[in-house]
Amino acid sequence: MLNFLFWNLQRKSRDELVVQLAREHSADVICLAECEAISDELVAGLSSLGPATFAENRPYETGKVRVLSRFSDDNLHPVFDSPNGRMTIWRLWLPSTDVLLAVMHFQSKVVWEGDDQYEEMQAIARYIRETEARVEHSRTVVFGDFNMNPFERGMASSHGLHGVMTRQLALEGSRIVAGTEYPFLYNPMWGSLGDRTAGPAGSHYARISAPLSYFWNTFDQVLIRPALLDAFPGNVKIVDSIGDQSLIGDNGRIDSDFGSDHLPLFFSLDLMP
Amino acid sequence: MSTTDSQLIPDLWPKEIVFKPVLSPLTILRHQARILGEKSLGMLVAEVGTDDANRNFTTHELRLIAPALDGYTRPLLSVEHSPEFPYPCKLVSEGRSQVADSPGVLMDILSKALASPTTRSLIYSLLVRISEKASTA
Repeated sequence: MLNFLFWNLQRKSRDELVVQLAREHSADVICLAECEAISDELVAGLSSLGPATFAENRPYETGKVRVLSRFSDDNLHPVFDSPNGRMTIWRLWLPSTDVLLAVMHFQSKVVWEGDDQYEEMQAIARYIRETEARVEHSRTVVFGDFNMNPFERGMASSHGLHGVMTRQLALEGSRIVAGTEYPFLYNPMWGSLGDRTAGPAGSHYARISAPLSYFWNTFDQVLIRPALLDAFPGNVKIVDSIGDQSLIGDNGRIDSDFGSDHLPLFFSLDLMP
Repeated sequence: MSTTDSQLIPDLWPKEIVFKPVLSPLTILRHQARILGEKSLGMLVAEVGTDDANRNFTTHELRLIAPALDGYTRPLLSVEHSPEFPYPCKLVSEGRSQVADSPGVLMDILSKALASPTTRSLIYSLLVRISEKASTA
């Protein structure tokens, strides 16, 4: 299994928590958003976990998402960056296959309206399809902080990411809308909304004064193309504790003083021979 | 029109409009893409992607590609115009947009965008990565 972690750090230094998180989940690839700096201590701490050392891939360019991994730059490197750096697509070369990792830190609802997010997500979806066409496969996993819930237009519409809520729907491959074919992504995060799930009610909490407040949002998501679904047994979770410390306070809200205003996201892909 | 009319009514058309074949934004972008590949001896190439899915405007995007870096691609800038009329067009670069009502104005603002510090840094960074990769191969 290859293990992936994503965490929006809210510009806070959380080196020890990230190392502990990586240890508990045997992380191979760690993607950090709103990460001010990758410290030597963090890299050393991750490398001390063994067996292979960790390094920041592409440390000389500071995009919206920082990537640390056990892989060399030859085996894990970017093949696309969106103009504003909010999506970066990496190609991971493994002994028997290669996959695309599209990592996102999408525009916040604080500054963008829902319509703005939807329009921009159409461009993002097109970039993903074009990159897949360039590398001639669609073994793609899209993950990160989308600042949208799974049910919002940018995530679910055919013109957006086209993330559907069941594996069976995604295995249909694609859907033709108004004469154009749009590929599906399977979005398992539909199953993580609310408190009747195994994990927390979402990955982000915001109590806003507007009439419509969801309180809990599942902004941090992973979506998988049908061509990669065989490698995704379903191991995905929103992490709500590190060690014996809960990332959620006694008031039932995310404890950003201890962690961040987002909870970490963990998932696995069965890609090793 | 009689001779008398010509004497009484002046030519009111703007002098700067020259009635000869006019370059479209797409032609101008494609030419820049071709020049980059030639100047860099293929280390960097560029392509122009056109998106006309939106019924209200057509978008041409100039993308930088590094073949030696597994085809790493980075959109540099884009030009939007209505599907029917290529001018006026809007050049969008580094989050800013500027309107051009003629090929001359478009080429002027395009040259500034291609010479911006961000674009220069990107090109030099890619050339460094290409050189490093070549030296370790």
